[in-house]
Amino acid sequence: MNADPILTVEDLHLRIRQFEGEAHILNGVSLHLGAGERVALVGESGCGKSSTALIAMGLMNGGNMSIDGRVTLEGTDLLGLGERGWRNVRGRQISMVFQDPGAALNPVFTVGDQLVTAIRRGDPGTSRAEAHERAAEALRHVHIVDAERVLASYPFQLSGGLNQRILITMALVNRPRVVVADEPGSALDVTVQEQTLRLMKALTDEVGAAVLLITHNLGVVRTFAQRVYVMYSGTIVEEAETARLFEAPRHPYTQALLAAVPRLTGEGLPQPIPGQVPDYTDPPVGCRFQPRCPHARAACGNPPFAEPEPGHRVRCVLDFSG
Amino acid sequence: MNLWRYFLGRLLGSLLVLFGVSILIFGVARLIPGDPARIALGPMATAEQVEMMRERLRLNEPVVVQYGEFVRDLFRGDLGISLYTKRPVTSDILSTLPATFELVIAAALIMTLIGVPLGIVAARYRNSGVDRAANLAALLGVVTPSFVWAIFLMLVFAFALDIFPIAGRVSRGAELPPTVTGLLILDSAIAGLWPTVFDALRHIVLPAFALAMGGLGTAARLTRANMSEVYDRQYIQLARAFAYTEREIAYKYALRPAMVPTLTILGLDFAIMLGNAFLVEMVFAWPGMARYGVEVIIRKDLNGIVGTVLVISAFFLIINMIIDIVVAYMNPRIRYRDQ
Repeated sequence: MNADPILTVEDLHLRIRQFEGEAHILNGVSLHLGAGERVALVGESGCGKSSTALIAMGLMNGGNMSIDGRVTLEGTDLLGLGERGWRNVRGRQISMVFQDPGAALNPVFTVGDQLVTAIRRGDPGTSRAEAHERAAEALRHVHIVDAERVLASYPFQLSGGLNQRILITMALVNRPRVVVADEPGSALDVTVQEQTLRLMKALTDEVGAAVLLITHNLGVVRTFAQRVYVMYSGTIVEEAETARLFEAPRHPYTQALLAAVPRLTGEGLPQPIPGQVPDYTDPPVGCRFQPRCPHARAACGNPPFAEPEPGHRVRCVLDFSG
Repeated sequence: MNLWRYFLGRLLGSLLVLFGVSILIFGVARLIPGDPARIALGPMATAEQVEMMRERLRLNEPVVVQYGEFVRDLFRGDLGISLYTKRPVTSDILSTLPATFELVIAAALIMTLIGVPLGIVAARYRNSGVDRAANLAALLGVVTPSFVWAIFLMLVFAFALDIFPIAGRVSRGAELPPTVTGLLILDSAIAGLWPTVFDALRHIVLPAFALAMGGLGTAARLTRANMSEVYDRQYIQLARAFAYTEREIAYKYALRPAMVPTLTILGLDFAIMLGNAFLVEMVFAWPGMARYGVEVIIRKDLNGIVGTVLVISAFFLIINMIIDIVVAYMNPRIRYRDQ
C-alpha cells in the first residue's frame, strides 16, 4: 500500500516564543499519506494536530514561530514556498475543510461569491460565469437542490449542516490531491457530523484525493480512515491500520483514548483520561505521557518509535501486545 | 431588497429625534437668564421699547404656545428674525452654512481617504515599522486639538513655506460662479471656472487638514484594530487556504467586515467636525457658520441659537442615517434582520 506517498511530513518541529518562554509545540512529527488514502490524526485538544495541519497548508507563520523539518507534496518542498508559490498549491493540489462552518465563511459575502472566488483562484482561466455554473453544479452534486438560492444567500441565512456541505464542496471543487479536514462537523450535532464524514468519503473517493482527518474522537475514525496516527503532546505515539489499532492498541495513551469513547453496548461508562496535556514551555523529560500514564515506571526514559509488527509502530518501552 | 424599509425606519427615527431636540433647545434657550429683548436693544432702550420687542418676539405668551407657533413657522421654512443681524435666521444660516459644510466634507474625505488606508496598511503589516509609524501619527492626530493643528499648519505651510494661502475661502478678485449648491468648489466646477476651482482647493487644504487630523487618527486606529480582529478570524484563514491574494484579502474580504463597526464611529467623527469647525474657521477666517454661531450665543439671540442648533442636529442625523444605510449595505445581517 505504500506506493509513493503524496504528502510527507518529516521530523517537523514547531517552536513558539512566548512570554513564558519557548514552547516546543511539535517535537519531531513524521507522517505520510498515500495517494487517495484516508488517514486520521487523533489526539486530545492541544496536542498539536491542528498545528500540523496548518503547517501543511502554510497557514502557520507568525513572527514568533520557527518551523523546522520537511513537508513535501508530490515532491515539492512546501516549507520553502513563498506567497506566490503557495498560491499555485493551495486550493489546487492541497485544500482544507474547516472545522466550524459558522466561522469559516465570510459573513458579509454571499456563498456564491466565496465559492466562485475559490474556484477561480484554483483555476485562474475560469470566467466568472463559468465558475458560477461550476459552483451551482458542485452544490447540486452534494444534494443541494436549490443551488442558485444557496449561492445567492449569506452564510448566516443557511443552516450549519448546509454551510458544512458548502465548505466540503469548496475544498473539493478543484479536485485537489490532498484534503486536510480539521474536525469537520464537530461544531454540529452528531447526526450531521456523521453525514458530513460520509459525504467527504464519497466525494474524496470520486476525486481520488487523499484525506488527512484531524479529530479528537476515535469513534469517528473507525468507519472513515484506513490508517491512524495517534498524537500526544507534539509527537506521534502510535501508528497502525485502523482495524489493527482498534483491535490491539499498543500505547497506553491510545488505550486511554479508546476507553474514553462512549459505547452503546457493553458495560461501564467511558473513562476520562486523568490530568491534562503538559505545559509546552516546560514539558516532561522523555516520554511526555509519563505523568498521566498508569504504567509509568523508572525504565520509561525516551523510547524510540519502534515497529513491533509491520505497519504498526509505537513509541513506548512496554509491550502491550496480545 | 428591504433596504428601503430599513431606510424609512431610520428616517422616521431621525425625525423623532429632531423633534425631541427642537423641544430641548427651544426650552433651554428660554431658560438662560437674561432678557433677550433687553440685550438686543441695549441699555439705552426704554421699558416700552423692550416691552414692544418682547411682544414682537411673543415672549409674553406661555412657552407651549410659543413652541407651537415656532413649529408652525418652521414648516414654512421660517426660523424667525435674528436679534443679532436683524435678518431672517433662515437666510443667515443659508448664507454661511454651505462654506462650513464644504469644509467639513473636505475634512471627512481626507479623514476617510487617508485614515482608512493607513489603518489597512498598518493591519496588514502588523507590528512592523509601518504599523508603529502609523500608530504614532494616528496618536498625534487624536491628542492634538484641531485649533492647534490649524495654527501649526498655518505657521508651517502658509507662513514659513508659503505653499498655501494663509486664510479665506478664495482669493480676492477670483471670478465667482452663480450659486447652485452653495459649495464653492462644486459650483465653480459646474460653471467651468477651473481657475476658481483650483484657487478654492488651495484655500481649503489647510483648514480641512486641521479639521481632519483628529478623525484621521481615529479612523486609522479603528480600521487597524477592527482589521486585526478580522485577520484572526477563520474565514481569513480559509481565504488564504483557497489561494486568495493577500491584496484581495486586505482590501475586500477583511476590509468589508472590518468597516462595519468602523463606519459607525466615523459617522460620529464627521458630526463632531461640525462643532470643531467653529474653531478652525476662526483661525483661518473661513466664512462659515462659526462667527454667526458664536455671536448668537453671546447675544442670547433666541431664534439664532435655536436655528443654528437645529440645523447642526439635522445634519448630524442625516449623516448618521447615510452611514447607517452604508453599514446596512455592507452588513447583510442588518439588511435581512427581519426575515
